[in-house]
Amino acid sequence: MLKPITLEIVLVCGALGVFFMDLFLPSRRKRILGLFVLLSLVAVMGLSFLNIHYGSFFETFINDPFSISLKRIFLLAAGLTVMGSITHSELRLGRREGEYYFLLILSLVGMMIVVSARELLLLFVGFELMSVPLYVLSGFDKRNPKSVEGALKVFLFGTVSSSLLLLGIGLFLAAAGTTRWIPGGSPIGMDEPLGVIALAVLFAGFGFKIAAFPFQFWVPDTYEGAPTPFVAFLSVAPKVAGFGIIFRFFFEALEALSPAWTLYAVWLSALTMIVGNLLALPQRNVKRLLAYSGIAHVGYILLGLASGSQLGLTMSVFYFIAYLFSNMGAFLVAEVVHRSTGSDDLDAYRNLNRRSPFLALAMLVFLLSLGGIPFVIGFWAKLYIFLAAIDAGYVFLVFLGALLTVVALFYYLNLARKMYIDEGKEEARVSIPFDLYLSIGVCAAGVVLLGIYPKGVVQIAEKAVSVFLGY
Amino acid sequence: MELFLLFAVFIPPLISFTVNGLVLPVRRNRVWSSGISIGSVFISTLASLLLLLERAKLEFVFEWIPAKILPPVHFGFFLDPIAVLMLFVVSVVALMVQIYSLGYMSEEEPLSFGRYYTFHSLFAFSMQGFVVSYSLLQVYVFWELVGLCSYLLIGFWYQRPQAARAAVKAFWITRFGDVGFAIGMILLWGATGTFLLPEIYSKASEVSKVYLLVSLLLVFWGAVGKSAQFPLHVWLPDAMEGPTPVSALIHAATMVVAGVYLVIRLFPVFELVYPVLPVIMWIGCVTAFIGAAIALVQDDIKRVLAYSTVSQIGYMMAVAGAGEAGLGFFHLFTHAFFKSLLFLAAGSVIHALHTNNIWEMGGLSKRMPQTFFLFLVGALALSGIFPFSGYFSKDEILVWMYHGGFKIPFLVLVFTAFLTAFYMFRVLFVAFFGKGGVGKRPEESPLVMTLPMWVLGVFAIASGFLKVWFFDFIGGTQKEVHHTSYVPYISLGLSLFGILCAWLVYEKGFLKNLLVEERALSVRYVLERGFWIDSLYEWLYRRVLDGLSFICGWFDRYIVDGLVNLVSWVTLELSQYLRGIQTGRIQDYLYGIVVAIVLFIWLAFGVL
Repeated sequence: MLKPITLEIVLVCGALGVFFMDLFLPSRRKRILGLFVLLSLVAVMGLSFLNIHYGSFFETFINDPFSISLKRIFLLAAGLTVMGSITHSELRLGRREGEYYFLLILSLVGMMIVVSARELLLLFVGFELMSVPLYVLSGFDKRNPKSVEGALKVFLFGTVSSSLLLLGIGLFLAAAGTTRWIPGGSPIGMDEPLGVIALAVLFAGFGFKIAAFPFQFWVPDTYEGAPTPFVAFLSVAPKVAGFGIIFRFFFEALEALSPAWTLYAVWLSALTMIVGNLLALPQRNVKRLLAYSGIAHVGYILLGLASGSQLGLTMSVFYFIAYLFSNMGAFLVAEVVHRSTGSDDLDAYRNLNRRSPFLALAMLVFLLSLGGIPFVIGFWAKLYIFLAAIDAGYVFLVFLGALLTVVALFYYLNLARKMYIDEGKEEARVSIPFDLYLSIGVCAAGVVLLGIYPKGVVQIAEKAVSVFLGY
Repeated sequence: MELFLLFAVFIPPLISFTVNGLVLPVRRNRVWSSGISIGSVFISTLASLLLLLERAKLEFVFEWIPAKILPPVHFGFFLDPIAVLMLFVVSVVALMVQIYSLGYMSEEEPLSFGRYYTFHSLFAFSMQGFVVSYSLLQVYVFWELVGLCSYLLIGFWYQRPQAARAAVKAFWITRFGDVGFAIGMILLWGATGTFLLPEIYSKASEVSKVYLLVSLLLVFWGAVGKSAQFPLHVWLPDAMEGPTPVSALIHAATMVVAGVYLVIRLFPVFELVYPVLPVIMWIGCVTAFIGAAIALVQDDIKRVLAYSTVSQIGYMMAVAGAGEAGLGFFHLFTHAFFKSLLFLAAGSVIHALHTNNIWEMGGLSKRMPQTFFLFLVGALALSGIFPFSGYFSKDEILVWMYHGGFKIPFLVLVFTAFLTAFYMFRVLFVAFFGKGGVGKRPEESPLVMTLPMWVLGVFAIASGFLKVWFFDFIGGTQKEVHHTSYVPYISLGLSLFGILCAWLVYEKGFLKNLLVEERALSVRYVLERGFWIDSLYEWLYRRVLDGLSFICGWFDRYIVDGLVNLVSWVTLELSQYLRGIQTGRIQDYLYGIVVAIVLFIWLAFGVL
């Protein structure tokens, strides 16, 4: 009976295991915790290939190809983050590895629940389980005022969005008389005024997770202050989870209302692309720059949602994977540079090519991928999403997106210029800890190899969204 | 199994390139960088030998970019006897050259030594990938990759201005050809809708003749550039600024014959339209003659060999154009071994004496007996003396030309055979028996350099005897062989006469005043200027291109840049305004959300 939630149960057991090991391990052996977490993530990843059971709990929790694929994306993101956190100084000095990993796994479990939920209250519980640990982790570096400020901002925003979500659920219940939905069917009463308001409020509540404009304000401050390997996770997994909820809820429950929410997606996409790209331009801090560029990427993914077609959805899922490797990689490089120079400023990257050719090359690959240059995976992601949008008739949006890509190239290549061309005073070599070497290497390999041969990822994405729009 | 072996051929060099390229400690270490590179090529060689023994045939196609939304792009690998033989040649020569380089490049700094092997690995991978490409697009990708490797290795000693200039020149001129190739390829795709070679073969016959003619001539233009055919042959002699082993591998045995290989691959299509083959044949003939003629007056031992390569590739093109691509391929096969042998032997001399000028050599036959013997083997093979390999392949070409009814090309090529023997033995007599090297005491090269030369020497002798097996292997493309022809005797006689002439002039001093010292002799003057082809290009470049680029530059600087600067100014201003929304006050942010929700509701009532 519990079979459908095997993955979640195993993960929770892993989290409890970390919790108790943390109590009994002598403080100098705590590095084992990271390896343990990594192993349990790998184990769950392996299990996800066995656990193909579909619905359960009266069809309120389902493991279809879509949720399984998204769960794998979360596991991958968490794995890379854990891999990049093992030697994180804040953890080492603070001796708080146990809490860190415990919270990270709980948040992961929350994400895995929300993408499987077909019931709004279950979804809400998962949503909170996902969000609350993220608030704590954002303020993990508690001696750093910026970290605390960022955590407070994300917390306040999160609370507002949770309450919006609850309000939306209430309205939905009032309009439709149920909190469950079945695929293909449109709940009764949703085209009434009450239902329309519920739709708008729910969309706004989910919008916070994907950090689309105007729900993006917390992003740069939070990213700037939080521990960087965690930011790598924060910048990818919750966004993907947010999109997962939106895809499932709107395509399954509210397909009949698609004129309204594709219109939202169109507007949000355009505004988010503009705001993200233009605000990234004047940034001097690399983490803030990547934060805004991440917002811009959400705008591009929203293009796929705006298309409202199977093709658009497929390409959005493809974009998740492209974004995961390139963005996480970029943040992990930022972490190494921060450890070496103590700064996230653009000028800390001056001359990086001399100080560590590997790091500079990896960063260049990530930047090219984020900028959408052939032949790294980000290029295909942009190309596909643009093709899907053109297919759906949004030529103007694609034109805008392509124009803004040029703006994006300016700030990405500006960073590349610092690394390769600008002279710098500093000549000390950057030493890369083994864990970050490995995780950055994985990201770079993903970006390059999948860029050379993107077909496998497209097939995964196609399979994942095959559950939608098929009824 | 074949697929596995195929991957075993070209993946190891790729791994070697990646490791050498990305991991600095490996590149810094002489043993590791060269060891990985040579080991990978060794695996390639073994695998390609197995493929050869298995007579592997393979077609493996996969879709590169998913097809639902874009026109499908197929990639794949293709093995037939020709490709298998070519793989074998490439791997063997690459292996020998890389081993030889251990000695030749031993004076390099560790880092630049590692860089050398990194480029070599990339080259091995790209060349093998080129050979087994199944689609024209893939051919083009690898074609450019080998061009890039050639550029990087010619300019390997980039601190020397001549080397840097030669690298740029090679890149430029081959690119000039590649533009034609790219346009031709796209035209072919436009007509047939596919890049896959077999589909092009089958669909090309439906394309209108004129269209096909234009696109095929453009594709051939790419081959002209890559294989240094007239009128784009000028880059190859300058490419000799690179390290000598590079010249042996890239500019004698493998990359420069890529154009011939392309012609052979596309032969079924080239056959379809009438004037394409004659164009190829005549370009081949003219090149063969021009190359040999200019080689007569070169004083740099490598430039002689370079012009000789130009000339020999002309033979291959000519016979392919005369309708017998298989013979061209056979000459490519033997030429790869004896010409790389000649280059390595020349490199051995250069390594010992630190000069390229044949007049500063001399008396080497005593001091470097192994090098001398191997150079002699190569020279005899190149001159087409029985029983060395060049005799078999070149005479097959001449026989075919004669009996195929191509009288004038036959005369040109026979005369070129005479010139070939003459210039080769001119070098031999001057460098190995002359008196230019007085006072120098060169030493024989170490075993690591002589051993690869011996291996290639064995191939240079033996590959000719493989003729029957060879044509049986590539499968009966050869039409009737004229065993009773008297043409071989003519060409053998002429070659021997060429050697005799060289001996008389350069060893006995007969007519020496006239031929060597009389600079004013007009023929000599023309040849030394290389028929003014370089000067013509220089004039075109300075007068026409520079003028054009001045105009374009003005337009770019003031009009285009002005627009770009305007746009970027507007964008930056805009972003400064937008920064205003990020006030840092949470209240403002929450107002934003409320406004958004209100707008959402308003929008929804609008559409629903």
